[in-house]
Amino acid sequence: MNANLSQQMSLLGVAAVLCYALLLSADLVTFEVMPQFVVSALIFITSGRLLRSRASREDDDAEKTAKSARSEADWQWLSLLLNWCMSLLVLGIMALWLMKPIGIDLLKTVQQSTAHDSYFSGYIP
Amino acid sequence: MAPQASASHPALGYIALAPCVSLFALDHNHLLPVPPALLGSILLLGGVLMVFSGVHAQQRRDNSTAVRFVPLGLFWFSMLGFYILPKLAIGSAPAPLSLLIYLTFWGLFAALLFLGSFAGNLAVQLTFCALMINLLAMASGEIRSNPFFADLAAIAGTLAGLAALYTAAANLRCRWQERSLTLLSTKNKAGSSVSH
Repeated sequence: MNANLSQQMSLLGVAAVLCYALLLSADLVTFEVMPQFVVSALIFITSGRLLRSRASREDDDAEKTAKSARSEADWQWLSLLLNWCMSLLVLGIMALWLMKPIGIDLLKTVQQSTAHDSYFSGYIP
Repeated sequence: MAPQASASHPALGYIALAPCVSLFALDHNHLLPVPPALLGSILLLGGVLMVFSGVHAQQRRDNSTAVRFVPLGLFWFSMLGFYILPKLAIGSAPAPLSLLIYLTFWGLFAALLFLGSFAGNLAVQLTFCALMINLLAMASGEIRSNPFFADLAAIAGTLAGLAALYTAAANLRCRWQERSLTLLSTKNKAGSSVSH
């Protein structure tokens, strides 16, 4: 079940990219929505890979009974921390890219943000 | 700290999914107008919680929960950029054709999640079935002026939210009191009842 579903999800990701490319070549959509489509296709393909890894792991678990030797506790904690940091960093960048509305870019958003101002700075006695 | 096979908490993801899908669908159909800033906050917080729940599930090697909630969390971020931020005068809304195709692909993704939930329980199936109908009806409503699609999207979104809330509550009850609720138990291959 997971193997079939992973194939279908990967296929959906490829179909999203192809569909966007076709519509772009036909001039029906603009480059403005490219981030959303590209990230969505990436998400679909990654989901397919995750499900495929789960399916293969389930097969392996049925065969394997011996567990691998445990490494040092510090390294496990550090690798877990690194995994969390990297996954949150990647997901944060993808989320920022997805949230970007049409007609504005991230650099312009940062440049046009107003600076902090004192409450009394505009006061004229 | 050995990774556990399936000890993640999908309830957090379902709790976050419920207000996102139901309030967004009701606001999109103008049945329950929610202020854009409030709806944006709900979508942002719900998306973060869903992504967090999915990453947590992935850390615990529960890939099916991760596949459900990380993409859905990121999807609500994109809805924030497409619908809410233009209402707050930040950027502009995309063309209806782009939204039609985008929502259709996410509807197909929800359809795949619905297919994948056949091995699970009825509440999860109902959640993803209603989510699929909601997304596809919203996609159709982008280019058609027929109010049927908007009504269908609102009904399906509300149903998906209620089903997600039920799933979350039943998951928590199963975990805390070790009891299974109606619609939340399945039969495994050996024939014994298993609660999720």
